[in-house]
Amino acid sequence: MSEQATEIKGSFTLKAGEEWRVEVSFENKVVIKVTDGIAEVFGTELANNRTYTFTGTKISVYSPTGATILHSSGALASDYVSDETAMPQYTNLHLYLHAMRDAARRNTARGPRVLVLGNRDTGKTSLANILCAYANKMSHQPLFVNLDPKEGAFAVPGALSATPISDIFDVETYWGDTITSNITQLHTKQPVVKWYGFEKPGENLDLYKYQAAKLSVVANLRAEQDEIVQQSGYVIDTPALGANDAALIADIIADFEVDVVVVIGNERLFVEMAKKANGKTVLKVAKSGGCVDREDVFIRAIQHRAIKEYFYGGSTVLAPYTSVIDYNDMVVYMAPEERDTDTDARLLVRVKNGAATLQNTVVAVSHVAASGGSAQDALDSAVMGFAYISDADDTKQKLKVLGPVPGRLPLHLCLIGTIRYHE
Amino acid sequence: MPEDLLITDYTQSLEELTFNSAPLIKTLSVIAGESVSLASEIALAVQFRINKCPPTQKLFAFYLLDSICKNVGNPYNILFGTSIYDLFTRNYTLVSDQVRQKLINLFTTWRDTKTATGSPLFPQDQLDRIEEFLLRATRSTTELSKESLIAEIEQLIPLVTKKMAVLPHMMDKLRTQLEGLNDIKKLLASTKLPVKTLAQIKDKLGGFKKEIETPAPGQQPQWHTNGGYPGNPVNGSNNPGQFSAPAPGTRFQAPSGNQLPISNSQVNPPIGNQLPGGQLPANAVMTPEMLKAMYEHFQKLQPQASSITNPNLKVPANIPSNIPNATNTNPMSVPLENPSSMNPGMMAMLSGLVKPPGPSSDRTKDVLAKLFQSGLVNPPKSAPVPPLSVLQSLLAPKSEGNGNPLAGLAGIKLPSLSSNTTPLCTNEAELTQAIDTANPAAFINEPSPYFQNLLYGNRSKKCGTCGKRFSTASNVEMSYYEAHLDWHFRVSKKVLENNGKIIQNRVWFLDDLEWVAFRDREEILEFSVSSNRANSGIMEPLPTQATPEVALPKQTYVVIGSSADTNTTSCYICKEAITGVYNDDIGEWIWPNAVQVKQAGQLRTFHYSCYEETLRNQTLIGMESGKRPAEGVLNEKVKRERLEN
Repeated sequence: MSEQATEIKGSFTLKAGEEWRVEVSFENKVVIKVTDGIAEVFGTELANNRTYTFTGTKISVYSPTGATILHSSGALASDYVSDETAMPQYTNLHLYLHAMRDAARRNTARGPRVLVLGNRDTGKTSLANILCAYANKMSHQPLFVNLDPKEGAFAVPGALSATPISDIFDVETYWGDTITSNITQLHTKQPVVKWYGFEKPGENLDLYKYQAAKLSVVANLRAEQDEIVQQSGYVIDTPALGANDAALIADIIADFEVDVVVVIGNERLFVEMAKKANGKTVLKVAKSGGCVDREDVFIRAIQHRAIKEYFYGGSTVLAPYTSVIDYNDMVVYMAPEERDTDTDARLLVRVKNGAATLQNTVVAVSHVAASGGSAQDALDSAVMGFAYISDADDTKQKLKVLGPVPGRLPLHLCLIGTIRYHE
Repeated sequence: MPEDLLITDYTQSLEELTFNSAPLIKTLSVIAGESVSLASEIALAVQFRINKCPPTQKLFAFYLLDSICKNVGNPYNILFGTSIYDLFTRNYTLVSDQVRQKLINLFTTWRDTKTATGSPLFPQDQLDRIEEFLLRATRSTTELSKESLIAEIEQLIPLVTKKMAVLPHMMDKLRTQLEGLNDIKKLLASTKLPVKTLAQIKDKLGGFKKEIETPAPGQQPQWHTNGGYPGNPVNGSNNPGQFSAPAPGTRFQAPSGNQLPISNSQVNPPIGNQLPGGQLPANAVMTPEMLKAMYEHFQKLQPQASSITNPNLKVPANIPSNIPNATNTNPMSVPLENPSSMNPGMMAMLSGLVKPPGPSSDRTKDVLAKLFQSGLVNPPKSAPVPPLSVLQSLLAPKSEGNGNPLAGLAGIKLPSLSSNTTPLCTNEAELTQAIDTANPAAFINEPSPYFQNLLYGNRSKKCGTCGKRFSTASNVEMSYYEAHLDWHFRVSKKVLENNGKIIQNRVWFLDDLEWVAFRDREEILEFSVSSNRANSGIMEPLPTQATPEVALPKQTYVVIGSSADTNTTSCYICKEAITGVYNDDIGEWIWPNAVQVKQAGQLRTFHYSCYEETLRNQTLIGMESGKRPAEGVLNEKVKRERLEN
């Protein structure tokens, strides 16, 4: 958010309905400023005459009415203006949902719960973002549910979360800060976080389903009690799921009581879903021409940045605390690596503390005290925060742990997965 | 800012248009011409004026619309053009005969006016529909007989049956319509109805016939029943079936609540105006003759219907032709003395056409019983005239399946007359309700002319810091904007003060139950929620005077951060020393019974009791002097650190 003194060199005009698609590498940054008209990034409108800085991102700046945009000459990996946009369709999708929310508000009923499905790199998260941003613009407060552990929205990769979108997104950091970041220049969001610990649902399907179901219980309970969330409904972002994941999709639909299924650019999945609509509205929308394949390297870098920001802050600088903990005090669980799913019902097993298992892991700290807590307790607790084990010394039997909050890391049950981090 | 002022001024000036003031109309047209950038807002304001002003003044607002469209033209003729049919027909039904004639004259000039580019002033299909509407509305009705109507129904019944075979998915709806037709047939056969009622029934049947002859509504986007939009006249002019669709915005509503569009005294011309014998447009108003005939019919049926009507119901044997407004203190007897109260009843009767199938064996009796009942439960206080379109809508396809009250509605709804919101806001609600949720797959693929107004037009205030938009429609909404700017200011100040001095720390996420109980509006946006939020759906800002309870920190010790170079500090108020102690529970050195507050750019430590006392006193001072409490203590939100449980 800080005002950058970067020189503005370029300027151009977006016509109504055009998108400026920009890729910026992690090494570079681009500063843009909208001087006239309306421009938005994934549904979030940019303030005029204010600079925005982007780095390590692939975004689209869309103008529904036309806009004049100044930008710094920062080396862009790619940038072009396109007039082929899926935005009018997405906007209409939003208006349809808006009418449902409006009716829900008038009748004190339940708003639409929307599930966004599609293949990898089809713009699921972008669409979810647009739908949430528009809903918020129109005074609704949808619950954004992230079921894609790769993204780690409002948390770190490996986590699933549900977050009421009560204010504008921070376009520079994609999601914006959570309330845990303390004082920030934009209103923060308050997520509830569950730990999965892997990047893809398939890596441990039972645990994934369990945590998604747990998240849905909390979300549905919140909606029951929080009128505005109930009337605004959910927007559920998913990992790449296809027609072969029908069982998992059915579970998610049942858990979150989904009313509207939106399939992006996958005819087969759309037909499969429509066949089993069963009272739900199933819609297909086009994949945006702006979708780009994100290389694994790029995704790794995004994930690394998300973890770094959790500890050290993004736009707001945060101070993490390092504490030293005895092996004996640290109780860590993770999903068993190999198990016979027919005979072994255990979702989590105790990890033997050691450099081999814990070094460089990202740890989810639960709300349950370690003493007397069971694996089930750890499973059923929301995530209180994340820690990072920067060093595990087998000879001294000590762990060096980076925690987000001042003071010694509370001795709570911890969970890990395959999410690693290197400072 | 000037833009909003302009709209506000314009709206106010519109309210002065209570007589045919050429100078005012001219001035308002010129302003509209000079403010093309605000065209959509101005157009909305004019439409709102037309819809909301008393019937005696509607004509002048129409003259203004006419003047703007003819003198300024683009974009106004396009903006008005999208819904000119709705606007015209809706208001036509509400005004006196004299004004109707003037509106017809006005319409003929529209038909003949061409724009600079040679195209019609308004979209051709809209004009065609208005013309057809006027033809129907002024048609002579003398040749009607109930025999011809019965014959017409008998022609329709096979059509419906045939359609049931072709469109099995619409079976329920069609079956309902079929039963409705049979009901009317029975009613016609068993009852002598006045000519005007017959005319209304004929009108409905005509519309219904066209509807039944067109393809199923589900096969074409219902969006178009509104007549299409400029550049998008797909189903507009060549489809006569569209005409019989419900007049948008006057969709029939079950006569159970106070939402009936007729229940506004303002829209009523004096009843005397409406009763010069048979010279009225046939379907404009219920006449005493009709009522009398209906009444006689009820009397015949009363023994059967008494189970649901008040047995004490007393009706004068002769209904005078000049019926006074009801002043009777017995509400149960009001309906039949008051001609207006029959209207819901009449609607209920015709609604038998769309009524869900019931178990009753004698549906005629059922329909009339319902008529009775609804007339009784919903007696309007004055003598409203039923808009033509209310009746017109009775044969309309009724939403099925999802129970969504919006389904099937295509067009702008008659504004809720009890609403006291300002024009732009009301319009947002109208636009929203105009969205066709019944057929989303079609809807999301149709270019929507509304979206910019919904997303941007109704929220003209944009925050310069974050881009968040606010409505300026009311003082309450302006106060959100101000509160928002205030918030930015406080945060920026805090960030500046903190810069480099205090390093912030993250706090923990909530556990499940805490999160379930968390409310973003109160805790993040700092709004309190008013008691009537369920109705208004809007937020109220917190009072500007923070209460001590809000401002006080929850925790009464301060963790001595690693940045502190000393274990001892002093209270900023009483200057006594506070010495750190080690707390075993949290494993930290703390200052017990203390709070830390950022003031004037510095983090100051206080005894909790000293701080609390000062805070209370300052609040009192602030309240007494009517000013905001002193900056510094109260407006600085105390940094709360949530530590482990």
